[in-house]
Amino acid sequence: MRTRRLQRRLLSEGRQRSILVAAGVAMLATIFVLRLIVVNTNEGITSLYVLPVAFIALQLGTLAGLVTATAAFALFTLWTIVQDVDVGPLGYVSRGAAFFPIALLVGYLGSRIKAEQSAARELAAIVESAADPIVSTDLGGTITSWNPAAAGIYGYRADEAVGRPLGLIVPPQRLDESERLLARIARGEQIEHLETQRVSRSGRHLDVSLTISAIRDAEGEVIGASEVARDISALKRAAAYRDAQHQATALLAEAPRLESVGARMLPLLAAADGWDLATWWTVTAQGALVCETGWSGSSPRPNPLGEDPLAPGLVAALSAARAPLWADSANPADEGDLPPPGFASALWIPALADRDPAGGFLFLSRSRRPRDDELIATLAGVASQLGQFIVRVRAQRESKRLKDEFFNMISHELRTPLTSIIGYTDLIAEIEAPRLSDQGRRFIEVIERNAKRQLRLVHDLLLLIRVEAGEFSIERQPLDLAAVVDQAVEEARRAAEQSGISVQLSLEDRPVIEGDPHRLEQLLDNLLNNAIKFSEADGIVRICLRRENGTALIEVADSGIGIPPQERERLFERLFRASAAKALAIPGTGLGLTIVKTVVDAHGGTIAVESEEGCGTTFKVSLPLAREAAMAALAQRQRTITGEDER
Amino acid sequence: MTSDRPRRILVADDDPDLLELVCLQVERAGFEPIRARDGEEALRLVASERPAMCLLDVMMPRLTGIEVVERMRNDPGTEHIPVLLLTATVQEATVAEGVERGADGYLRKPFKAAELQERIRSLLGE
Repeated sequence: MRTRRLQRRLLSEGRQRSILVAAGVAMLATIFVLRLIVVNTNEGITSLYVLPVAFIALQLGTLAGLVTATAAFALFTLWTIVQDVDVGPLGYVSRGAAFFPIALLVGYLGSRIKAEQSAARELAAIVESAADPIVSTDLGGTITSWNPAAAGIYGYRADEAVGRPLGLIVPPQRLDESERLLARIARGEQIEHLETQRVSRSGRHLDVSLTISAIRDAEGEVIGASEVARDISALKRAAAYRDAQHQATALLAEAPRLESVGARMLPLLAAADGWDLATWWTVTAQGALVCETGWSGSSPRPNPLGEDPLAPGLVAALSAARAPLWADSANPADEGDLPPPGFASALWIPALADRDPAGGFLFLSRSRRPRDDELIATLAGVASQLGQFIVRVRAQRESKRLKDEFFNMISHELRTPLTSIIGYTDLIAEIEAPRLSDQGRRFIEVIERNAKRQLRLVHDLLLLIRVEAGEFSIERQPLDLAAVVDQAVEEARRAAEQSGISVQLSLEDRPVIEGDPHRLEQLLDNLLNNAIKFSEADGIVRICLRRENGTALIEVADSGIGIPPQERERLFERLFRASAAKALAIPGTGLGLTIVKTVVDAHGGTIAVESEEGCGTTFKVSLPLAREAAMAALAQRQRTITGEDER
Repeated sequence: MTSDRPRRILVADDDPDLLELVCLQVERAGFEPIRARDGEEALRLVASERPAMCLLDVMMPRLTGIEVVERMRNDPGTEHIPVLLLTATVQEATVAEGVERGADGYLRKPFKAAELQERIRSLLGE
């Protein structure tokens, strides 16, 4: 044993020396050769690219030499230590030299550990001071860490949260989602910017954008999850407010009915900020503030406050409020009546019409909400728009009411005297006929004819006023058109006979239409009156009623002067008068055919004109036939009347 | 006519000429007219005289014809009395409102004597 060691030592000494000499020689040789190359290159053929290559080679060679030497020293020294070989003074030198790289290595490792420690501290500091809540859990979903921001936003202290399930801050309807996310993390996935919700201790829902990363142990196994939440509630709300405001404006632009506008606006506003209950109140004609409708979640609540209405004092306070009113359980308003029992936060937004309340929105929340001035400003803005809309509609209604009143009065004042004139002349003609001379009878006829002419003009003017106001409408009822035509012809015949014109009526059919008898009378009156006016003495006016192509066709033909082709198209224009009418000084206003066209259009019919100059003109009016049901109704009515007459 | 005494018809109009005209026509049709010059008087006379039917002008001072009908329909003593509105307006809405509030029909002024008589007989079931 002793011999072997000795032998080894001896062998070792030789080997060691040769290794050291070889390493040193190799190193020096390499340096020398490389230096030589560089010097030669520098002094010899100048090559721009050989130079840097040679330089790099030199540095690499030097490094290689150093590394090789150092490694050799280190290995050798280690070997001497392990084998307990004493190599004399050279051994100590080599051991000393070997310490240098070991010290370097130890120093390097030490600095790495220090760096890691400080990185961990830095990380902890970042987590602690982050504005966003950072919560980590194990794979079972139990909270393992909780930063101060999480405490601030979710409302639980770290010691209250750590050890509890993550469900603590997940809304019940989102629990499934939370589990799925944890499963994805366990599979090694990363989740970024996922929009979801968290719920705070006070029950407030927060809109958050989540980034979840896996927590791994030293072996890289996933052992937990760390979620960073960015509270985007404010952003979401701002977007929702803008959206609500936009929709409210769009709704008002539609000019909805005044009675429905508040109720229609309610869901837009309620949806904008997730109140538990939103209600719309209106001021009645008697000046009382009443709750008209409610909105909860995503559906209307017709009786929103149930059997338990608000305290009367509170209703009075709300109806007197000219500005928004915010109250919560910690800061109640109106002697503690607001918020009402069962609610923790309340917001009243009055809708003012000319500084007087016309109604308002009451929003209620079961959980306490922090006062949100942005929300109040948004809702107040919408309410003010609504108020202006109410003012505008009321003004329009008032102006329409005054116009209607004036129209009614004018209509009444114009027709009342004519009613007397026509009624009394009728009576004279009837009662006093035996005592009247022929001349007297003629005078009475003149009065009657002119009164009727005046009445026609009044009717036409009143109708045109309605048309101009866009308020012309007809009152449809099933009609025996032949009866209407027959009566109109009877009326026209007397005027015609005075001018020596004969009126021939041919009722080929008795079509039933759905129409307005007064307006149709006016239509026929105008057509017949025109036909008579434009006929020459001894002329003939022919009226024919028949069914044609599924319509009721009325033809009114005269043997008059005719209408030149270029004037036919303009006939139905208001105030247009044929050149011949003006030339022959035929009286008229130019309103007649406008009236005719208006009435025809209102009945869904058509009118056409055929004319030949010097031979006459024919107007053809087609009106749609009545539907089956209307015809049955007319038949029923006629039976009833007949039945009564027989009784 | 079942009784010797003619049946009575209340006629209300604020225009005296028209009131007289309608009354004359009512008489000629074989009825006895009761005259009222405004809505209030009409309502009072309807309650005290219980006419067989009423011919009411729409535009009258104090109470309009439509208001008179409405009140008549709310009084069990007068709710069954037929009412014909006489109107000089051409506004369909007004006329429709009258029928909606309980009138049995309307007649536009001016009307012919024959037309009025036919409507009276029809409403009285004669």
